[in-house]
Amino acid sequence: MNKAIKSLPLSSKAVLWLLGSLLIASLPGWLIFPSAIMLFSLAMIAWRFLNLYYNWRPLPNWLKPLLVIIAMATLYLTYGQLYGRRIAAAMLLLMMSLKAVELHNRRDARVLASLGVFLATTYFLFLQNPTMLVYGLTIVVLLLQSLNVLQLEFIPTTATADQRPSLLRQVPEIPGISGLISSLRIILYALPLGIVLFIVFPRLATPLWGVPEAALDGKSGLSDEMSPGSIQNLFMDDSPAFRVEFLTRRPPNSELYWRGPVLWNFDGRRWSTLYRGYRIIPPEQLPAVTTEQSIRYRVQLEPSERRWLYALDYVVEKPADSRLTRGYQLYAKQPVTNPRTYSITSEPAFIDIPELSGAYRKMALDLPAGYNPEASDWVRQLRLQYPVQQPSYNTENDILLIKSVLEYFNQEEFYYSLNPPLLGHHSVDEFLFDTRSGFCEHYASTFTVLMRMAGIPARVVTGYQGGYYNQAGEYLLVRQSDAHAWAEVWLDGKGWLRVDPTSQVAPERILSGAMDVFSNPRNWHDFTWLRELRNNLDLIQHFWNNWVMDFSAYSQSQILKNLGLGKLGKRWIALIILLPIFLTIAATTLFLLKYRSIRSRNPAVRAYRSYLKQLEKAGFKFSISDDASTVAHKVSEKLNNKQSIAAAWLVAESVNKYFYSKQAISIKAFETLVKGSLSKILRDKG
Amino acid sequence: MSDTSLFHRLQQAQAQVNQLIVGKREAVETAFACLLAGGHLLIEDIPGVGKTTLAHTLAITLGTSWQRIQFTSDMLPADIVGVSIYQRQSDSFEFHPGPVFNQLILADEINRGTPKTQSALLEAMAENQVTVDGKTRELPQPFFVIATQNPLDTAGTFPLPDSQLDRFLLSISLGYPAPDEERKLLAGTDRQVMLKQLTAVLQTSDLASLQQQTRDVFRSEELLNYLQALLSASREWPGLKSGLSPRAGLALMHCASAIAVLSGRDYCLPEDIQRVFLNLCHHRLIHSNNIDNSDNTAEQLSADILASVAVMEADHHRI
Repeated sequence: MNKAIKSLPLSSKAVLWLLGSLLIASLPGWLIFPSAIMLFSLAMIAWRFLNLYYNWRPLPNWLKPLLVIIAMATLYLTYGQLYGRRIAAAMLLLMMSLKAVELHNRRDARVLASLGVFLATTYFLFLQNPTMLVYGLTIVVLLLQSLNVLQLEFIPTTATADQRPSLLRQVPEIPGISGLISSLRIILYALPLGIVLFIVFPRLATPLWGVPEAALDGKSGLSDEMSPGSIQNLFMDDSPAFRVEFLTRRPPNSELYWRGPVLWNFDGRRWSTLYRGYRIIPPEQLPAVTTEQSIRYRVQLEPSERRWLYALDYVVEKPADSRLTRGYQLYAKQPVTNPRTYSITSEPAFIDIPELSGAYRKMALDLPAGYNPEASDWVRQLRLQYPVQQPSYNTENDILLIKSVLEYFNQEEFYYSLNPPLLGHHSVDEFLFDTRSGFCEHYASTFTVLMRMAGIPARVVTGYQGGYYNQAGEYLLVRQSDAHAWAEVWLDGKGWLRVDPTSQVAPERILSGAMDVFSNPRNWHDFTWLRELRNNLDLIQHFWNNWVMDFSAYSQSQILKNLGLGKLGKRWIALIILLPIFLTIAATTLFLLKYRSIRSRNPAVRAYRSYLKQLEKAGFKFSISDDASTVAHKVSEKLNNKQSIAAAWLVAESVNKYFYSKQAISIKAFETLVKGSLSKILRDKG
Repeated sequence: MSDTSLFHRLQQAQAQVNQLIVGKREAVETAFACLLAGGHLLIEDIPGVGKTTLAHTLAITLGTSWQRIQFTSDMLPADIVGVSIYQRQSDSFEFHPGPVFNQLILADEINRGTPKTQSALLEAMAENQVTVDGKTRELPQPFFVIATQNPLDTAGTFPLPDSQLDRFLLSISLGYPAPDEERKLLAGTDRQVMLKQLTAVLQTSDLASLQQQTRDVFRSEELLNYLQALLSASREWPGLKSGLSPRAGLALMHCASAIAVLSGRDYCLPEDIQRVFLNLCHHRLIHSNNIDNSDNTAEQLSADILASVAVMEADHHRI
């Protein structure tokens, strides 16, 4: 390509296409980058739009370095550093938008289109769901279409400077749909290669997007603290937390308590985890399979940026890179930054800690002083009814006390509510005797406090409860809205026992899910049918995760083994696969270079050529040096019908006008005319 | 064509020339194209087919000042450009302009002149000016030379060198008239009488604007591609001493544009190029063996080159 053409100016149509595509390409940035960066980028693109529309002068050269400095300063100020994949991607976006400002010639346009495709690729570092795939493909199609528009402008190879303006006039109509089809076709051609490379290209054990980031994303999800309202907020969030495929039996919903952080510390309002609670469980306390009730299942966890792996009680078999804490919570070595799948066996009937050591017992009874006097009195009264028994393994009265507290929740006017009144200093007092309306965290918290007041070791466990079972995909979908909190009490000899006070107030929460408890929608766009639709559409995501996201180095080696290539090294496999691909590309390139003149890229030339070909088939003889008028002359000599003769001459005139005159004829009109005339001539010829 | 009356007069002018030179419409059109393209015309043919009459008719019809120079072997350059003669009254040399100081020169039988004399005219053709006694004098504008030439094998001629032949934009040959036309010619009025009755149809300003129109003719990329392909083909053609020079390429482009103007178009077509290609190549393409350069061969050569080049290449839009 010669230099003159690279620097040829662009038609406004090409600029519009390109800017539109870039705008669409930059939009997913809202989900990834801070708004300051997005605003800057969009402003740059918008400036180029306006520049085109009002025909402004290009920015002065001294301003451009200034803009770069502003962009870099924005980047540094928003992230506080200049390192990391998110920052690099943001820089790419900024630089692309800055390049858009100085979009002047064809070279700029091509650079921008490439940058756009690259930007679309970087989004997959952050968002790897099927929606992003579709959107990314859309971006690529649009950018290809922009390149199409750019390419189809009739810009001569031999034009000299003074001829350029007049030659640029011939911007043909870009047929929207057929242009789009050609863009899609390009992608389709690349697809087999992409699939082959996806399967066989040597993989890193950790994908690129698995690299942990310096800063956490502030993803919503369970945290290691609980205060009134924290789980209630999660209830508004429909995004999936994880999916479960049961390999043995599927327990009923009422047994699906997915254990998350275990909370010991209470400061009167907030529950938080205990540092010691994260210690690894001693080997003698490790659960073992004791009954045939054990459950095998596979969990597909969405990225949470946390190290918790959700599981049912009690984990017998666990992933290699995880451990069990003293609270029997499954804890990964690395934060979960990309979707990960792990297999677990759980044994529900296991008795965890028959004997509680002094230190832990003390922590499980600890309450801040000076809170909730009324509740304290109330529990004392209750304790008088069921006094503490000796020896300690005699727990009948404790159980009776627990039951009467639960009964109290059940009998009195307690409500399960999304909008509970705010609680003051003595939160348990107010809740127990006054407001009596709350979400699961209120009940779990209150119950645990009451237990501690009664001298029974207790703690709060957060996690998820239940889930939506997708019949078609045969998996359980657990959303953030399924977040739940419950209580655990420790009884001598029986270990930690799960007690869910919420079930006393709203049993349907446990049986069928939180959604069914409330008849009123959570917000204006909350409809039952929409929830159903979402639940069913989740199947796509499930398959995507199964077949694409989970395709790891391990699965790759499995496939290669099945293909009989297992023994070859990765390099050899890469070579075996890539060599034919490169050879094919090289051969195609050579072929195209040699025979590129066979098929014209100019649709008008193609149309005229096929016209000549059809006529030759009908018995006319032409030589390559026949110009349009000679052709018409030769044709009309053999025709009788005046109309068809006129048609032949009309083609000649149109060809001459289309290719050689200044008059702009749309390619569509030209094609229609040539085709119409051809059929007239052929009809006459018989 | 912006000026319809001008185009009408152009057609009238052609018609008037065709009245005298019967049955040679194409040759006449080529002659006009040559003039519109601002080049000099070489009429090459055996004696007696109407070369001089054509030149004569053209000169009158165009309404320019004109002068005929009959080349002979004893002619000197001064006979063409003029001479400075001592004037006793003013005690100085006074320049007496020669016949070249006219808008249209009819150089009859140019190859009968000696090379020295020929070059005096050819220099004027190239530079549009003459230098006499160290003083450069501009020639009147427009400046055309219509030269006639006998075939080279005729006795007593000095063949024009290649470089000087290149100064002529187009060459035409008239040839014998067709039987019908010849009968018309025999039955018609005497040409000398007819010549005397002729009047100018075009004016000098008309010519200037026609030449401007020729320069303004639109030449699309496809056309230039075709033209260039022809030039390339001539350069690679086996048996040729040399192909068409870039100057010949430009000449081809201008002549084709002139044909477009004559056809009433403001854009140039491949058929325009094909129309003048032979006239352009005739005196330019030279066989490498230099012996068989008869008219027939030159004609055949240019026809072969034309036939070998596709009018519409498959893909001109490679970038």
